[in-house]
Amino acid sequence: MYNKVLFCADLYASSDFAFAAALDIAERSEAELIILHVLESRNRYSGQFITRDGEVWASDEVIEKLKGVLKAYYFSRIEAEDPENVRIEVRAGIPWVEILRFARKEAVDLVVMAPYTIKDPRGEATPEKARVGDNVKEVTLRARCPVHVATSPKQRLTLKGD
Amino acid sequence: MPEMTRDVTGQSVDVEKIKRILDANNGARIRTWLSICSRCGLCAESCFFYLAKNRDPKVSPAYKFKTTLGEMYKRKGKVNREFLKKCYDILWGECTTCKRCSMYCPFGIDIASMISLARTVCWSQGIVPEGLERTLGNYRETGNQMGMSNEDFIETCDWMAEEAEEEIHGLTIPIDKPGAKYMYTVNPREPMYYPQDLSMAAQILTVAGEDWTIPSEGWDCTNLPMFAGDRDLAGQVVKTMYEKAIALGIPKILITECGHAFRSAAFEGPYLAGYPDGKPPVEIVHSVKLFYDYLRDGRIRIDPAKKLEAPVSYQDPCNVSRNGGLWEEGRGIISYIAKDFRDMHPNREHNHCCGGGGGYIPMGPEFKRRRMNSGRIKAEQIKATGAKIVITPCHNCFDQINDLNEEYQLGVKVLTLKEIICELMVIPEDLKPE
Repeated sequence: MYNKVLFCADLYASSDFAFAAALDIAERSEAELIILHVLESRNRYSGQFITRDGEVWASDEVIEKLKGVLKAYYFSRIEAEDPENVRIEVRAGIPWVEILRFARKEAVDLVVMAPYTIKDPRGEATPEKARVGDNVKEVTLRARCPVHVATSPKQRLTLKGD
Repeated sequence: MPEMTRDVTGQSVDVEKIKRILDANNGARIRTWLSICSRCGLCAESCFFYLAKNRDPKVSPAYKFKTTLGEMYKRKGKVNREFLKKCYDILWGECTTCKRCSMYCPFGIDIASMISLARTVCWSQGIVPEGLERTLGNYRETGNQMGMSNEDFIETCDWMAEEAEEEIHGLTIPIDKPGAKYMYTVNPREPMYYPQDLSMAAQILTVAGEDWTIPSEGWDCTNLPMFAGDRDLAGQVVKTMYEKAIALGIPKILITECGHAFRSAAFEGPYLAGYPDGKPPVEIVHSVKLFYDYLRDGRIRIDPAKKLEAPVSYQDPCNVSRNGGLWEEGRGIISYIAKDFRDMHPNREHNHCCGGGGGYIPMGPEFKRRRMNSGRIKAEQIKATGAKIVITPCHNCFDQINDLNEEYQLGVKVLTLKEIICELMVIPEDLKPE
């Protein structure tokens, strides 16, 4: 059904539901699963990024270190001990731009991502209060392939809106 | 054995190298400027750093050039690292080379040029802001500040052509079209961070029926080496662009909405690239001029029903207005797109720098707090207009005003000309998507 499934890892645990969905679809389709994280540019100009080590430049060292973190986190969630058809990629820039650029270049045929789950970046993620942020909005509107936005099973509607 | 000096940390300075730079520039201009300044203080009030720092005399333009380049000449280049680090703080932290002070100097001393020369001395000793230094490697390796490959750039153009075709029937982004009228050059932030800008440029140029192309190399019109002090590289950057236009047989280079790119390509680049007459080998046209011509000549028509109702102000980028002469063209465009225009005071060629020019924005977080503090003058100017929208045809102004918007809670929306023109222009019937 699919040849390449692109999972957009936002590094919040709330996107684990989306990862599970991406993994399931990739396994059923015997497709390659690409786990992509975009180091988000803090500004549109500085080329600097926020990581757990603080504000850094997106050097090869930073990118390799992040790939290691992603591999440890996601491979532990895959049953196969050494999954062959899974690739980790890291880019730097504006997330939705890089996701679309990557999807186009790699000709992926499904993008899987999670909604935005925090209002205040300094606060905790609240998977039950998902929002459509810029990244989901732009990727779903602009991608040339289907986009799957996976939410928490506990996702519920609220009349309060917030 | 080259002559060296050492500071308390034992780090050395190549005095011979500094002397060579100073000697090479020790012409009548610099000698006159350094000796003619009478400390009248008229330049002080013109400087937004001075105003924002409660009129501290140590931030006046005259003080800044005397204590940096002036001292370098006085000491005949025999300076140590400690001195150069103090210069670093002044040269990059307290000046954006906006050239406003030169307008108020009764002798017309070009202080920005002297600050730039002092930057070159610091750069020669490896003393340069990290944010700028990082771009230099990118320019050397890839020819552009963001380190984007030409292949990725072309792919981004193809991608944006696909997107724009949904708005404009038959739109293409021609690459390396020989003999086109305009070679459109961009700021790499566009393909990297907001590729829609390329799409919008393509829409405007297509609706205007323009004969244009994008080059597959030499497409970056920015020139951060010019602000870092690396003059050789700055010359090479601009030369690559000129030579591409010549190779394609294109008579005009079109500059995107970027201020310093215009200053580089039209005014400083020819000198940096070693053209003896100081003129670019092809005509340099800024987007502000071309867009104004399109609106004036009816090649682009604005839907009157869509004209902006909210109060609008216009930020004159220093290198488009004061140093580029296009302040009336900018206002001319606004007259077509906005009903309620509220100019800043002062304005036009007298407008203050946003505080993000001269390499300040890419210098990054190390200088952010100072950038916000000195930007208070611009924030106050904007607030006084009561505008809800600030339009500016410059990436640095755009980013700086966005940051000021947050810092000073200005409550404005910052827009580029392309964004508004695309939103408001009438699409001719034959170009409407099927």
